[in-house]
Amino acid sequence: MSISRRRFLQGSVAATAALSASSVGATELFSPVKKIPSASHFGAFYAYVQDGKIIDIEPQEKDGRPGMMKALVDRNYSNSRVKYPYVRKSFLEGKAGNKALRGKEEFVRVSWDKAIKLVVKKLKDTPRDSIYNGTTDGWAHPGLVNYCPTLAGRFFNIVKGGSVNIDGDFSVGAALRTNPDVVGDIEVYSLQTAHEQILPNTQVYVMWGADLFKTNKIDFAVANRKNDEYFLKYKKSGMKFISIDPIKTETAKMFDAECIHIRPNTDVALMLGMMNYLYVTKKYDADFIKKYTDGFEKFVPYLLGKTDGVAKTPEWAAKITEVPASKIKWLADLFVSHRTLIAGNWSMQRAQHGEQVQWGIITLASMIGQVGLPGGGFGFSLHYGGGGQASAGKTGPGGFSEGRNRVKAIIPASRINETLLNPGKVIDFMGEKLKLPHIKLMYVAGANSVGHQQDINELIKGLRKLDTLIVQEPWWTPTAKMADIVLPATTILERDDISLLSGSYSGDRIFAMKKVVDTPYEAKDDYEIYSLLAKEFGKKQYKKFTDGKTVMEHIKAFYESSDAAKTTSFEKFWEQGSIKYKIPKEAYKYVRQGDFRKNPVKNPLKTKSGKIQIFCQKFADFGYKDFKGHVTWFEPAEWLGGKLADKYPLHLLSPHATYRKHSQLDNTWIAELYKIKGREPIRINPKDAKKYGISDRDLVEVYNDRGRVLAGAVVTDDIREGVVAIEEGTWYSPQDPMKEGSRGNSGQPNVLTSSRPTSQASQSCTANTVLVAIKKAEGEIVPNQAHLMPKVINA
Amino acid sequence: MRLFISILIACMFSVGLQAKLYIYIEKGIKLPLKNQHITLYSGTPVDKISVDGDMVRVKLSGFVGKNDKTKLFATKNLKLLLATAQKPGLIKIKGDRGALEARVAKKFLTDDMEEAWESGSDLFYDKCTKCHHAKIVEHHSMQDWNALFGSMKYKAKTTKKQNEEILRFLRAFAKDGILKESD
Repeated sequence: MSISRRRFLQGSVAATAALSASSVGATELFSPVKKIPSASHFGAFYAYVQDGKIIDIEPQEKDGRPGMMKALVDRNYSNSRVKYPYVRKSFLEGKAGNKALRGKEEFVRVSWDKAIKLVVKKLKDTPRDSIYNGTTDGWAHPGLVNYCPTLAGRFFNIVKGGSVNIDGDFSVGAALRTNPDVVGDIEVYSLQTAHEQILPNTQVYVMWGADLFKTNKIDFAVANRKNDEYFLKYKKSGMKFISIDPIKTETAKMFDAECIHIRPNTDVALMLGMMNYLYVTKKYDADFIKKYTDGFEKFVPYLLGKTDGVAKTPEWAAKITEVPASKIKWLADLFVSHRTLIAGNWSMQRAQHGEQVQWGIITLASMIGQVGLPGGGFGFSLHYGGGGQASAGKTGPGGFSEGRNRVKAIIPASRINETLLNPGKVIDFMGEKLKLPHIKLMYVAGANSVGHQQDINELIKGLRKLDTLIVQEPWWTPTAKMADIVLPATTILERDDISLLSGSYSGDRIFAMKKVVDTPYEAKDDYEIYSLLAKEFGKKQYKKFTDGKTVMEHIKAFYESSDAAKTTSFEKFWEQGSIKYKIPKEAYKYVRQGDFRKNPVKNPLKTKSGKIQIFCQKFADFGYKDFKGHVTWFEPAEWLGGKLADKYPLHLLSPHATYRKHSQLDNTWIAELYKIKGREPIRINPKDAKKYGISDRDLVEVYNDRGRVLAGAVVTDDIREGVVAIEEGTWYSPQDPMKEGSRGNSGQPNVLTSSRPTSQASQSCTANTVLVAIKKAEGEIVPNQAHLMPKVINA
Repeated sequence: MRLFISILIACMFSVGLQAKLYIYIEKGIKLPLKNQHITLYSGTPVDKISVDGDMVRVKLSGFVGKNDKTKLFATKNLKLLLATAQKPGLIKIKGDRGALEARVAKKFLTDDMEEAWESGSDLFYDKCTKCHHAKIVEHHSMQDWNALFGSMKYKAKTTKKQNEEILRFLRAFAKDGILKESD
């Protein structure tokens, strides 16, 4: 009987654990085991290395949920590693029409020298205004030296004077373009009210789409698990929890929350129904509105239906949301009569008209009148990066700067496909006209575009129009498989680095991210790859890119720009593997908008009026049909109350993954624990399952006009009738790569999502405005090949 | 290197050939002219009136607020300060507009806009591109930048002085600012 590599690794882990517990002096029989500290988005850890191979990973601190970080071992040794530089065959041969073969043909192994020269030639031949820097976000790892978004920006700015970037991001694009004018702050990445203020003061904790327990597992920096400890206190605190969500989340179950299973994309109608009720019954806080907000009088006529003939009553909202009017009134009464904290989320604004959602919560919270009070108001980042943890307020390690990008063309995040397919098209954007650039070359490092971009079939058509697609990656991701040139990068376990200030909000730790093992392949560090490329552009560019420093000199310099260096030498920090800042007592008293509440004249918000803008003239002046001067209900193009629901009767949501960070770890053993027949699970209500003849663990086909995917059914009462959910991030894999629009074979939901923008205003992504139909899978079923490397020549 | 270039530019600088000049301060944002009871701010565009040895007589034009006639701003929204006067009457006022004349040493003037704003620009592109790409400055209004930078400064861990300088640069080159970054 043969033992698979994964089982061997799992066995090794168990054996190590047994050995460490044993009193036998095993070191005489086996090579010594080295314990090396490092860190990841999943947490800080010690890697155990024997004979140059990682045998286990353990968390550095008390960590009740170390599962995901353990999968880093498997990921390192995955068969999906890009081991050498490769070039797509017909691209290498320079054959005419080779673009159409992206994602369909084999790759040829080439030397690093050849790959670098090829990349440099393409970059030199392409004007900077036609280069799209597709390294769009920083979620690959938390190391500062090899941080791909900054490295890529720095590289392009130095060697080309710039490149085209996206505007906004895939997470919070709509909020980023709305909140600054409404509340004077982006809010989504801002320090939240401290847990110490929430615990004794909050009486009603509203999780409006927020799944605190799940999404706090990972972090933009190095995750800590402190929020888990606070959540245990929350549970015992006596707070009442309300979850407004089509899904009964992990957190809702943990807190025994009262669940309001709203129809997806109708949250603004629910907010308006509550606001209408509070206004008509005069239960809203008129003093707060007068003192702290601006433009309420321009909003009220809409609320009462005087501007459009439709009063936004609870009864009106009930028809849209399918939340009974009595429940809407009850919620409004509950919120206004108790200290209520509304924990908003980000996914609701990743929907058509997503600009309205957080603005709606802000307006509702203003009418409740508790903004700026301890444990009251709203928070848009309590689900993220240890939101609620007090901040150390210290300076962390520096990092590279990108410098100035002289290319002024941008692409709003939802318009990537359109840019590739319709270059030169003029679109509306935040009150102006924006001409989409003509992109000829796309370079992606440490990001998976064929995964996070909506409407993958449309994206692939766009990618096949590019002259050149370069991908720099440790793994054969779906994006790498579409590339012309693939440069193999090392993993975080194969290089030295230093972490961002961690966790995101506590900012109380810095971690040495030590190299754990040598790469067994020809992979190079991201920093080294860009340095090699910069060298080809000239000595001056190389010097500017590297600052004439080695990697360790950079790490040391970054550390020495932190407050920690004032008390602890770099050598000591590097040896001990981490450093911890003390959180000042005052930080535990932090209340979001607390200063504004205390004195709005002395501490005005950074809005036009210095107050919360319930009406915003700037937005009204845009003159758009789908974005007005105050919060407005707009019917989405796809929702359960619309006509399209006759054809596609289920609303598909794609929430964050429970056991991945976006696409990361999809290629590890941890995925085998939850995948069904090798596909991503789709949650479906038992009534819907019965209606469509689907049983638990059936392989199903989910489809709409944009595409089809196979997924594994999970029949559960945890999701409301009419709604299905596939978690985002699984690696895309077409059943037949040779066929355009072939059925997705892994369950990647972005095959089904739309590239339709939120509105003419922010043009952000709308992954959660999707209708689909479902049926039992039919036709030929072939194994999911998402994690297999493509065919290569000279491997 | 930068100092060398600055010195070189200063040596080559011929006021007589240029019309639009900018206040240039190597460190900080304020240029106090004590004898004249005024303070000029870095990067402020000025018009040359005359030259007298090492000194240049310049004119600044802008806007004043209703209640404070001692501050001259670049735009009507009164967000970008050009000069302050310690004595009333130094700023000549007509409606909401104001003008001021001052004598400035040649070393504090440059005809190179980028040089005049280099310090704020460098700070912004250094401090604000460590985690994400820099937004295109002219794509956002002064009001936008006030909120955007206000949101992010605690992550950038910038000092108060750096904040002032960065915001000054952002306001000057904002959509509703007075200058445009070169391509």
